[in-house]
Amino acid sequence: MEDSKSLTHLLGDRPFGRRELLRGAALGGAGLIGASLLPGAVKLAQAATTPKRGGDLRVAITGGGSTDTLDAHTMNTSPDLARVMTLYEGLTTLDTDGKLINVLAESLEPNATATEWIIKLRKGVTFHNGKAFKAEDVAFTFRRIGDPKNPLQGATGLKPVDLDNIQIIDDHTLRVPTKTPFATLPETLSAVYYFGIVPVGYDPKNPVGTGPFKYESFTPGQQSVFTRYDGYWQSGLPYLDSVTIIDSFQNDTAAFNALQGGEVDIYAYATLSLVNQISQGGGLKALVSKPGLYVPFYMRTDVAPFDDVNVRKAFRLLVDRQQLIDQSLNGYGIVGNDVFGRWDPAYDESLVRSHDVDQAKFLLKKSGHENLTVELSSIDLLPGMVQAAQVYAQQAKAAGVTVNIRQLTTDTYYSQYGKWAFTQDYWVYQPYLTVVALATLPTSPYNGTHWNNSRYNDLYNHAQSIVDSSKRAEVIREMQKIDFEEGGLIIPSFNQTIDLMAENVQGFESANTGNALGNFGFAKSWLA
Amino acid sequence: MRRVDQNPLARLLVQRILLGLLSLLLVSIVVFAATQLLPGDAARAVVGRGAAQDRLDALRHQLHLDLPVVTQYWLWLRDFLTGDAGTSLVNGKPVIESVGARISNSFTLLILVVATGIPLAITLGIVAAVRRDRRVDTSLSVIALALAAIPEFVIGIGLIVLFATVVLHWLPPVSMVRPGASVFARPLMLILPVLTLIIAVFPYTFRMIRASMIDVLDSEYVEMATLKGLTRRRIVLLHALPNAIAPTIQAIALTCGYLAGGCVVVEYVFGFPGIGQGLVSAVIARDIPYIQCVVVLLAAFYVVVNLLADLVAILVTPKLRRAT
Repeated sequence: MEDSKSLTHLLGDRPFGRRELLRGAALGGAGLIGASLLPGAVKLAQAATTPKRGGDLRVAITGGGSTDTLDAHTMNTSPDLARVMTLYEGLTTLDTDGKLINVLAESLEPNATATEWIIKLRKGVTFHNGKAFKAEDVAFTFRRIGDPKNPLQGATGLKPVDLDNIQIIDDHTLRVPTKTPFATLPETLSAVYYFGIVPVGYDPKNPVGTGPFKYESFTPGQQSVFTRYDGYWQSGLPYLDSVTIIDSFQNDTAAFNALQGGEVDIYAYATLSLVNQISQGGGLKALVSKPGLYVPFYMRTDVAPFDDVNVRKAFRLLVDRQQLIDQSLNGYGIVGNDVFGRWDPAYDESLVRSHDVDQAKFLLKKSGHENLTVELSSIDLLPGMVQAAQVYAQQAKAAGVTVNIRQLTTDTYYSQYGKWAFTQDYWVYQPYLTVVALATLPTSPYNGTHWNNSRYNDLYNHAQSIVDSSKRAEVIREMQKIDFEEGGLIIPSFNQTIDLMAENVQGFESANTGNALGNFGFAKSWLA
Repeated sequence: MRRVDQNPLARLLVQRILLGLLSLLLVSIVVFAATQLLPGDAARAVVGRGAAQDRLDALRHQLHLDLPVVTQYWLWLRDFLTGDAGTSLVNGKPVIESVGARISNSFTLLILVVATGIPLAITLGIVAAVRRDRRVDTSLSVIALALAAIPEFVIGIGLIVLFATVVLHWLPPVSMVRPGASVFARPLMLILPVLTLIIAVFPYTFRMIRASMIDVLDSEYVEMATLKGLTRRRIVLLHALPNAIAPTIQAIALTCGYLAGGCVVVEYVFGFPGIGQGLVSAVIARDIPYIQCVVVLLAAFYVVVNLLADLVAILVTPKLRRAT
């Protein structure tokens, strides 16, 4: 035991506290080597030490407020995301590598035309109130989300599903017919924060799920407590007695002070520049995620000047991506090439766009938009977001383009969401076609670029009818080519998120989903 | 009524209370109107990022946001007058629950600051006035001037660095309160926020009392008292102070008003769960019943404190007492 402890000491966490390794990890091999290095170190530490049971993990997350909720399907703030992913589980999820895995589902099998799915459920799972998890709960959950009278956030994702005709074959089997082909149902369902399974008759006042922790208390904008669910289906998990999520901090400094003062164990989604401070402070370490989150610029493809593809292309060529990562993200990110779905097996790595001011100038001249002035509506939703806008404005000057930044408050931004001509937004990683449904179809609720390309729409529908994933990948790559050549998104980077924590916090892996704390892996975390 | 008419003080009191109630009504109308001018509404805030229109419409209907503005206001007023502050639009909980806890936290802070800071400022103000232009006075005045020039959040952060995170580790750097628990559950966490606010309100009160004390000490009756051979102590405390205190009472009232709404900075720096935080959050969420409740309570506090200050000022000033 003594030996294993000192081994942890040497191999495990210490290097995390050191700035050099962090930086090396973040930058090395365009992030990928770093990405594989970091969790490697964590796993080594875990292998050497047996997780300890018990304790209350106190997590500070900023961004909460009176709109906080525990409802499984109306997540609203960053702390809500943490809460929802603690209480509830989906049929599928993405693991820390962004790979699709089953959770409450045992298998999901489509018919040959992807118009019907047979879903087999895991047995022996119970809800926090003791009720056994059955097919009826899945049907209830889907209908709650897609209720036409009160469609919840996941409703768009379930649009193809024929909710009225879901058929319960037995306690652990469902037949789910769809109105249109829907080959990516399992991928879609992996967004736990949209599709967490709730029991029949679910009332958010009594937030019951199947997750590792159950509801104890909740005060919006202050704190919420979740205690270990002893009946959790993954035996041995979780290790902690409870997780307390504190979102009363209104700013990063207060959260960081709380961590430094030992009032909390974790400060999630930390400001990137704070990482430099912890190398001096001692007693703290950083969990650097793999790149996954992205902060795109939206150019509305239906209004001037962005309705001209030459302008869009010029605006994309004007980004010096590595410089933007270095200056706005302190180096914590890898270059993006204006195409999303970065970790989708179908992602086309050959689409690369380099910084080219001359070409940008040429395209602007060609379209008659020399000396263009535009307003960029920026918003501070994540570390580095406003800074990215500022760096972009600076870089655009090289081609004589004036970008005036108007920084919006969150409420103003959302009150006109989707209407700003040139703005920013953020996305976590989801498989490509899932994001398309949400972001780049005329029916998408988050179509900030007002993208409506008939060939692209046809390709999407076609892809949804292809059950064979390698054949589907070909269609996806065709769609990505259109995104790359004509689309309204500028994706300069895929960002790493950073969580700062006390030395004794263990068990979180580095994930590429863009969510904090290894995709909120509270189940496997513990306190040494 | 006749008796009230005959008693000028009582008449003043009734007049002021009626005017106060009118101000509260006007405040509630103005604030309600202002919330209508802001872009977006509670439904937007609840739904957040890009909701489908049908979901927005459904929610607006649920929250009665589709009713005419005047009707919405009337419904709120009617409930409020019957003692029902309504439920939060964004989380469906009774407003009074959340407001009540936060108000009592803020009020605790206010009482602690007033109870310690004001006597301190008055004592030091008197000392400075009595020792005018001597070393004690000049150092106190310079310190007060310097403190007045430093913004509160700088003071707060400075104290945190000094006592909680970097230099020393004596005190908690943030004020985390378990919901439902009293702020006194961990009295140590109150020290830094209280200290910050004391430093923030000290210079104003100190300078006020020093200036009026100096005026009084220069007056003829104090000279007379000195000539009569009274002790310095007796002159200052019994003869000068009562006359110097009247203007200071107004200063204290203003300080209280400032503290009631102005703890926001301290709440921001320390994460103190007070009313300012709740209000900011409610404004962002367009949670109208919550905003209305807090604003009306804060306005009522202002009215009451000012009324009390006027009354006390009248009672301690014989000239005013007779004039009314």
